[in-house]
Amino acid sequence: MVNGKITDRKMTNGLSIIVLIARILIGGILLYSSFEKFIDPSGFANAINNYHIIPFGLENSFAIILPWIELIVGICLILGVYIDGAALLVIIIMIIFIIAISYAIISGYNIECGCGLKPGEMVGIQKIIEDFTYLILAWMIFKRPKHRFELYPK
Amino acid sequence: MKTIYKQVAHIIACSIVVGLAFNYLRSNGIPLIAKQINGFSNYSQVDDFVIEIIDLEIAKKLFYDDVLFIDARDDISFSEGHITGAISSIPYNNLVDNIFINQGYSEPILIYCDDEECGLSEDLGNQLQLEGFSKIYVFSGGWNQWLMAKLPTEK
Repeated sequence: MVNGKITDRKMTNGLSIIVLIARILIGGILLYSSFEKFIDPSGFANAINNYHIIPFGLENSFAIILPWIELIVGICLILGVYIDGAALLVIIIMIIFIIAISYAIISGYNIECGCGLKPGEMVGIQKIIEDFTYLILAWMIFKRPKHRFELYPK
Repeated sequence: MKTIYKQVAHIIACSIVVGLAFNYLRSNGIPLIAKQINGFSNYSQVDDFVIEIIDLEIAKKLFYDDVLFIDARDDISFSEGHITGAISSIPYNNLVDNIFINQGYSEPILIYCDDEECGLSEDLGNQLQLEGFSKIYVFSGGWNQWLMAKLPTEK
C-alpha cells in the first residue's frame, strides 16, 4: 500500500516535470514566433490575407492582436501564470492554424505559412503535423493532474 | 471551468489593449482595418478605356479572383515558366480571338512582362485597348516580382 503510494507520487512528479518541459517548449516557440510577427506587421497581415479566410480588411486587426496573444500566452506558460487559460488558448490557436493551413492546401494555394518560425516557410502537411504536436502538448498541459511549478493561481 | 474562461478573457483583453496601443505608438504601425484596394471588389471602378498600373498586392487579389492573366514576354520565356493560368500573347491574333471568345471586351485582363523596366506590358495594353478591351491592368512588378514572392507558377 505504501509502495503503491510512493510509485503514484513518483509518477505524478515525473508527469509534472514533463508538463513543465512542455510548457517551456510551447512558451518558447510562441515567444519566438510572436517576435517574428512583431518585426513586420504588414508582412504578417499579407500572410494572413493570402489564406483568403478572413474577410478583407480584418487581417490587419488579427496581425496587430495575434502576436500579443502569442507573447502573453508564451510568458504565462513559462512563468506558470494562468496556465489553464493559456493552454486552452494554445489549443484554440492551433485548431485555427490547422484549419487555415488545410484550407490553403485544399484550395491549392502555394503560399508562405506566416507562422513566424522560419522565414519563407510554405504551407504543407509537415506544418499541420507540427501544429498537431503542439496541440497535443497543450492538451497535456490543460489536463495535467497536479498544479506544480505554478505561480498563480496556486 | 468559469475560472478558465475568465483567464482566457483576461489574456485576450490584455492582448487587445496592449496590441492596439503598441501598434498606435510604433513607427511602422498598420491601420486597424486594411484599406479597400480599388478594382478589387468591383471592377467597374476602373474607368472605361483606362490602363491601370497595379502592384503585387492587387495582382494577387486579381489572381485569386480568376482574372485572365496575359504573359507579354516572348514565347521561350513563357514556356520556361509563367504565372499559373496565364496565357501567352503570342501569336497576337490568336490572343485577341481567345480573349474575345472566352470573356468578351468588358471583363478585366491583367498583363505582365519581366519587371518594371520592361515595356512589353504597356505596349500590349495599348494594342488591346485599341482592339476594344476596356478593363486592362498592367502588373508593373511582373514575372520577377511574382517569382520573388513565391506565388503560384507553372511551366
